[in-house]
Amino acid sequence: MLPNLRRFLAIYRGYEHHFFISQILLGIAALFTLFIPMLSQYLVDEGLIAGDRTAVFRTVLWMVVFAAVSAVFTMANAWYAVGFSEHTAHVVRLYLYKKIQTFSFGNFDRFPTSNLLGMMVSDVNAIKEAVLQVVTSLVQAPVMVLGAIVLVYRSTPSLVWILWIALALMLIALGVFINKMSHLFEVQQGKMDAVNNVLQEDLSGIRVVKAFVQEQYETRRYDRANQEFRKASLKPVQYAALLQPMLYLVVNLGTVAVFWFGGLGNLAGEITAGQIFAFAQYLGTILIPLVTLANILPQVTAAEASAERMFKVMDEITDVQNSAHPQSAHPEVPQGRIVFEQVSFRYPNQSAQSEPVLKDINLTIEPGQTVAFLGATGAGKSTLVNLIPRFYDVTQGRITIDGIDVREMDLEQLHALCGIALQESVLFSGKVRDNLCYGNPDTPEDDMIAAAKAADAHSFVSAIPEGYDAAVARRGTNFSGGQRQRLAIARSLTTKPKILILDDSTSALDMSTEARVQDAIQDLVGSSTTIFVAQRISTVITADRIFLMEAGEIIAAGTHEELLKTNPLYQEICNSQLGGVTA
Amino acid sequence: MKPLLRRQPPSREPQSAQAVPRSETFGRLMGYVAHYRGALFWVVLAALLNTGLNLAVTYFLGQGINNLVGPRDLDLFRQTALIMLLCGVFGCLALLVQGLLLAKITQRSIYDLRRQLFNHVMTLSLNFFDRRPIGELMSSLSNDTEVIAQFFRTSLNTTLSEATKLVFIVIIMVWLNWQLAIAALTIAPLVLALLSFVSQFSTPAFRQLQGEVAELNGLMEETISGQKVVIAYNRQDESIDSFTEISLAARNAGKRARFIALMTRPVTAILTNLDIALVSLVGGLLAINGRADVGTVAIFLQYTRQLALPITSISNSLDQLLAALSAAERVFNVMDERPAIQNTPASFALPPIQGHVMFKDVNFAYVPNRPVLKHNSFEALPGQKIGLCGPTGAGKSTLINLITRYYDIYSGDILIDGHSIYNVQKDSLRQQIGIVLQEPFLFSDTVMNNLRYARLDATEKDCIEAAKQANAHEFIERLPNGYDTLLAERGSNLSQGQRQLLTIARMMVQNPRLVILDEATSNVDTRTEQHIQEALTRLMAGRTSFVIAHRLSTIRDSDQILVLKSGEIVEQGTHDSLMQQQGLYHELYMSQFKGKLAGVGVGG
Repeated sequence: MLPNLRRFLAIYRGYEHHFFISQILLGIAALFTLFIPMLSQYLVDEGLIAGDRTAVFRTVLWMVVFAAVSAVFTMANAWYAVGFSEHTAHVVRLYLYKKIQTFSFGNFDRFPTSNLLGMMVSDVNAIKEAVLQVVTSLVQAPVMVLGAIVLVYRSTPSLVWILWIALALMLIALGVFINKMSHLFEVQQGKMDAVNNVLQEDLSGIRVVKAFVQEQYETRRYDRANQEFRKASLKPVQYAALLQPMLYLVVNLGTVAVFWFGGLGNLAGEITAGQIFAFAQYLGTILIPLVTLANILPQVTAAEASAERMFKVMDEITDVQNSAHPQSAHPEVPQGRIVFEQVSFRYPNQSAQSEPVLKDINLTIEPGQTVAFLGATGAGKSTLVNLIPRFYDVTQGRITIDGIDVREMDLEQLHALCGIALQESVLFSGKVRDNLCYGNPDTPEDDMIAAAKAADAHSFVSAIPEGYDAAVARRGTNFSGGQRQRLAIARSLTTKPKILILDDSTSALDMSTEARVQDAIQDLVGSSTTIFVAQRISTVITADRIFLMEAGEIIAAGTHEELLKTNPLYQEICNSQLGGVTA
Repeated sequence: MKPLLRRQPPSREPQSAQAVPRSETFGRLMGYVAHYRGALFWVVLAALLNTGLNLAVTYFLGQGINNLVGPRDLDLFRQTALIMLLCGVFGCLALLVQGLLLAKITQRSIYDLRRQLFNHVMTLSLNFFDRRPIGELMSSLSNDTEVIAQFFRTSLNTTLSEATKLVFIVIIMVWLNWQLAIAALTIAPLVLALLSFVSQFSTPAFRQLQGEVAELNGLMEETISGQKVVIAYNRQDESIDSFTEISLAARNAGKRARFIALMTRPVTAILTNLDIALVSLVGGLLAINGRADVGTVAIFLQYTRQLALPITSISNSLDQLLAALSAAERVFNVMDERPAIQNTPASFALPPIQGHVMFKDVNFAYVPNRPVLKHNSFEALPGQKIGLCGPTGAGKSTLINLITRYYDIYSGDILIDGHSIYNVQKDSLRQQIGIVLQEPFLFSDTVMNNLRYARLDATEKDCIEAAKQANAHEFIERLPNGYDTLLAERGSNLSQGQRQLLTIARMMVQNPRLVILDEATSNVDTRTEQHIQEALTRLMAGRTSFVIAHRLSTIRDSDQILVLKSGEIVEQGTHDSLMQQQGLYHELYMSQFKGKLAGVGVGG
């Protein structure tokens, strides 16, 4: 039962006392609520029937006291409960976030961003809500039920059996209901997803729907899914509509039974009217917490599902980890000589039988060289360069920088060694200068500006009133695609990395700007090894060495002129991109 | 033939943001339920019966207690017990009927609402979809309708029962003993007053919570989606620190807001209990003075306890109601949108065309005052290939939107085979134009069904033939289930190139005389690229084609090339004539070399 939630509780330690205190508070509050019907028994018997005024006053006084006490304890419980649940949410969030911070690229391939975000928001909330509900109501039901049983036993032991039967019937009804509901909700959720899928598809493909004039067809398709959903969501509501009258029926029949048997007892002089009345009240009182319990269950089930999803993330092993005894980079100033020795690579989630994405790569990049990897999408260019900073680990072979296997190097130092501009330029909210100096917050102003100039970003940043202190909106949306790219390139240059990797990061720039930036980079970090990844010939034309890739292999290497003369594929690419170029 | 419509730039303002009165939205929303008048009548009847009978059980209990205290009449005792039994049983039956009927009604109402909404959205023109990100639309159409559905499902039944109960209790109390009634009912205004007092604190607290949560979510979204950069720059620790800070702030804000919200329970409870004490006091004194009997006091005590539930559940329902009303407002906004492109009564069906296209002085803008196309005029003869090129944003893709009437022009005219497209029914127009977009879109259905989407009456043979023409047949046969292979969402279990080939095949099934190609930048491997080029060439043969080129090599062989700049056609002609002009086209063509190939011959 609830394996994931139990596991979750096991790791969430240190706050048990909050939980216990809150439950004690809740229990006491519940008890005092239960005493009030007992007081009404005295009221009727000692006060009304006996005509004793002081008894009435005394009873009323006790009622007020009990009411106040109950309220105070309920509020105290609420305080603890809220603190407990909110803190739970915080702990869980932080746990997950820290885990995500240990992820490497391969882990993210298994858990797309939208899943992770959904988890951090909805799943954390589901758990928080369930915790809150449980803490504020779980204990009430057993305390009240037990309390009622004890009180009835004390006053009218001959009638206790009515309470037992009523309880049994209510619990059976609730049990059956809960059982059915979880299955029905799942089915309902499935149909809801189906409806949403049709909707999503039609909205994203609306141009196609309209182009082929298939609006009617789509309407019918949606209608089918909608009907299914209607039927599936009717059932849970019907069961709820069945449950309520059943519970009320038990209470009503119980009341009649209490009246009948109690009445007979009264006529025989064994049971007082007050006792009958109190018993009837108990029946009503215990109904509410039982129903609340039934309402908690869907939330607990949802929380269980959320916990399961979370543990999938928690149990994830980081793909790329620091070695046990990391070596620092080459003892002297690093040169930036990169060697691939018989490197093969498959993505971690690929089966061992599938085609490797990179096959037997052997290459050497000399320090200070500017090289380029050219090929169509899927050729393996980005994959290859991602191996250099160990965003993924090789499956076979090894990669060395200045003679040291990258897996032996300290991961942080390795990353600091490489400056990278990825395919998608991601900026963070903050100031422009925060983004540019992201690799090193202590970067001197001059270095930052030099990098910005080299990336052709200085001009447009200076044009903004706040300049480098200008705000960057979330995801950098207040800058155009081309500007974001240039800022990302500047970011990679600020730390003057020994190895600079630009992965298709000039795709939004027109060719003359691209040429200018490439030249400026050469001026700024000429002694660094620069690696371009591209699909456009224009990007690679000036490289010292071009590696032509197709289907995970390097099929040719050389300068632009050499390749143009000797390699048919290269000629083809030139032809199609530049149109009618002959050697 | 002159166009029959005089088109004004349609109002681009979103539907006026003037607030629709809540009551109107409420009425409109309830209309969906009220539609089922017949069943509703029985529901209300059942509600009245069930409330009356269930309350009667308590009433007769009180009478029974009176009997035991007083006359102790055995027959009366038996009768009372019997009546209680009957009331209890039938009351619950009535409750059952009420619940089941209402369930049916609400589910149907929800179904009706969803169906209406979707059907309406399907009639809307593209300007509606382009203006909104998909996430927002989905949120409206699916989340908002679900909020409304929740409200229908839970609140309606509860409110009906509890409201009826409240009314009955008040009536019975006043009828039985007005002095006790006053004592008992003092709780009502007190509870409401206290609840509104609590909400005064809760509103600002929740607003602050929402602010913290928004910031938290924003931070998470940004860093997690940009995590690769965080990794590359070794910024994990700082990331965790910022997150911890914000998470703690959210936690504290949450504690405050939720605690205040939870206060409603003990507040109502203590008021109820104090009220019971009050009724006990007043009732006790009245009973002792002989002005009320014991049974009546007992009944009052029971009913007072039962008052708390309706009040709290109605105030809970109020929250759900407010949420449902906001959702309903958004939903109705969508339903009130009018499709921008409509047929007129005089529109006729476009007969099968040859493919002669003429643009006459066409002007167009998506947003007023920002013209996208200015004074475009050109003529394409049937079967010609027309290439379009120019800098980004020059207006090339807009052409597609105009020929297919996804958007209407401001002035000028577009004629196909001499008919103004504004005089023909839009369906008949679109069915005769084929479009291949940059981003191929496929449905999560079988390959065959995707192909048939172009023409529902196409036979399997037609589709296979089209696939062969599009160079798609081989790879389809190699798929696990061939033509019956189920495509994943958006066709993602195929490569980009294969998807493109399928969309070309789909267009072949459609077999239009007019074809528009928005060329994809080369995103595919060389061999598939060749297949696509071949397929496209076959596609364009004998059909009037408009090709939007990103690589000039694709349109070199066009019968006419239109060069667009800032929305105007600045140059027009064949490749050779344009190269001789040494104008913009020449510049674009040459820049694809970047001038770094000095010494490398350029093909003429």
